[in-house]
Amino acid sequence: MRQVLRIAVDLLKEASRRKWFLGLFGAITLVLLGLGLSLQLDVVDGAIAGSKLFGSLFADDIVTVHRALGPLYLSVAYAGFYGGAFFLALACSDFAPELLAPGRIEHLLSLPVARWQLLFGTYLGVVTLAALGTAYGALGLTVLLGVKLGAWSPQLLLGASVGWVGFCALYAVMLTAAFFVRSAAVSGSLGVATLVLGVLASFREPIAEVMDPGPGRALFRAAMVPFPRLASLATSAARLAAEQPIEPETLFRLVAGCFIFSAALLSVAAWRFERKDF
Amino acid sequence: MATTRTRRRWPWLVVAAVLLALGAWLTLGAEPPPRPPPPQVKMPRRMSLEEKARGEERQTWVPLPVLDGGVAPPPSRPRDPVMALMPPSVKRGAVVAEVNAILNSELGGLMMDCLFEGDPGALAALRDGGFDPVTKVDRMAFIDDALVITGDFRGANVDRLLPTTPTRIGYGQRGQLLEFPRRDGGMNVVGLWDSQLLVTGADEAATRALLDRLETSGPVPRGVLDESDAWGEVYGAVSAEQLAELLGRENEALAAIVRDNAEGMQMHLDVSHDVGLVGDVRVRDPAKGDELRKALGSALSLARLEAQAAGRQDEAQLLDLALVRGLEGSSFRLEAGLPHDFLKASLERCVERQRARRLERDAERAVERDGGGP
Repeated sequence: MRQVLRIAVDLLKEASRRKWFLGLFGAITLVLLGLGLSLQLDVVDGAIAGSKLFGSLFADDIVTVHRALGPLYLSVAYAGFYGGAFFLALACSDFAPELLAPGRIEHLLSLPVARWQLLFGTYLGVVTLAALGTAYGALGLTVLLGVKLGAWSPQLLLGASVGWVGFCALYAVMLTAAFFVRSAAVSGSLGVATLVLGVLASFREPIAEVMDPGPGRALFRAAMVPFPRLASLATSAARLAAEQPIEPETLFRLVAGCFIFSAALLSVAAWRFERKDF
Repeated sequence: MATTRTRRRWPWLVVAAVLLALGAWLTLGAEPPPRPPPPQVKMPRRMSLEEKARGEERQTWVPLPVLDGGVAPPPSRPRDPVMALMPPSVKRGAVVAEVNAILNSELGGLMMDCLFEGDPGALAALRDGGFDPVTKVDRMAFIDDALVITGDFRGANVDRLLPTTPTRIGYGQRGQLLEFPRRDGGMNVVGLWDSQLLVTGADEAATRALLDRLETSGPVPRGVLDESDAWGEVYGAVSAEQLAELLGRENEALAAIVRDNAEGMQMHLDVSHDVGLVGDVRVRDPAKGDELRKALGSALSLARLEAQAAGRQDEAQLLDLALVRGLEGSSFRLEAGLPHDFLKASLERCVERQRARRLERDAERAVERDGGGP
């Protein structure tokens, strides 16, 4: 386990030197700072009595904090889920291909590290990186609004953590793909494709209903079965963030389904890695 | 012979297949249930075309001009009789309910049941008197202590609707005063105007004053409500005192702020499906308007927090619908709503309560009868 963690930490160090991730954390910081300095909220006993953005009147109506922030959290959670998944699929696409680069992989394999440790260490490093980015953004916004409103809610953090689970499934596909084709482009494309397929899988039945009955419909239904329900997961994450009611059992099944899917893909990657000669 | 140890790799694939199947089984049908659409309440923010047409149809009353030294005054514009009798100011409020529209709305049946389920005899008595409130009543107006009912009283035997047969005295151009004795020896006076308007004030003078105002020709000061205010199914003007009483029942500080800062509120309710309330609150001093706005917003927010803390989610959701708009000139708008389902459930509970009370009363009467028998 120590080896797995060491590899994950090495990957995080490597990421900290990359412009992509510096840019990501810089952008989140800028947005939070911008909001922190420009957003003025007039709060009275849990009601927002007015808001100004960059000194201009943004809203003059008095509404409850819940009513004002619900749509904001909902949209932030959706944007974070899809935008974050898309960005990270591209930004993390070359970690695995670089790991397998000629020269480097031989060096790594000469160290007292098992192949599966290398695989899981890389996976753990990338998903930790994604978790840090997600937590930074969600925690930053939570603290910002908490300070400005005097009301603290962990809901955005909870929603963000559910959203992060979706990226875990995407990266499992990306990492596995790299062991078949050592290409950042292919890895990133498959990550985005999995995101799209995960959305389609969430609407499997409604889509199948509009298809003509026959083998095409049956094939579509069967093909969509293994994919994680990413759109459903995004909806659950957004509802959790916006303090809307969710079904705990459904949420558990969606989250567990994503983790199990990730584990299945990593098993395929491990099988491929074990039999590959370098 | 040299032996080579081969690593078995296929278990990874078996694990992968089993996990994929397990994941698929777990997520099949794991769809978040479609979220019920957030409660949308139609807010009566302005007069609709239908309401405008309805108002124009009602503007039929032109009082006969009073000749002053043979000179005819300029002709009066046709007025809606209910609006024509509105006084220029009120102590508590003047509220008009479009009873016919309300009773014929989606929840009208339930409202009638809620009103009459406990005492079906009262409705039967009205109908026996040739007056079915469902079809004959058009509007009801409450003006401080006075009650005005408009509708079609032509076929109604008004005498049967009163406790004793009244004495009829002609009054003004189209009015009649119906006088009947009270138990304390005094006289009650009800005004009937043109078989379409029943007026009863706090006393005879008040009833006469309302009828006088209705038949006054020529320019008169604007009433507390006029035709341009007649939109929504319930509309009216409420004094600051009444508003303080309504809003500050459990919040003395809020009541004091309302009394100090508000002049009054004009309100409109739409009950065609849900109940949407729009109230335009006039403030005494626009510079202090924000104090009142914030006090109201804060009261709403605290009430929501209390409801949520107590697990009253329905109530919390309702209070989430409420908002206080920005100050425009010397007034601001307050909006609140009751979703259809909430209202329906409340009315159904009301009908159940009334029914239970009636059954209880019937049972008590039966026991009394049996006890008094041989």
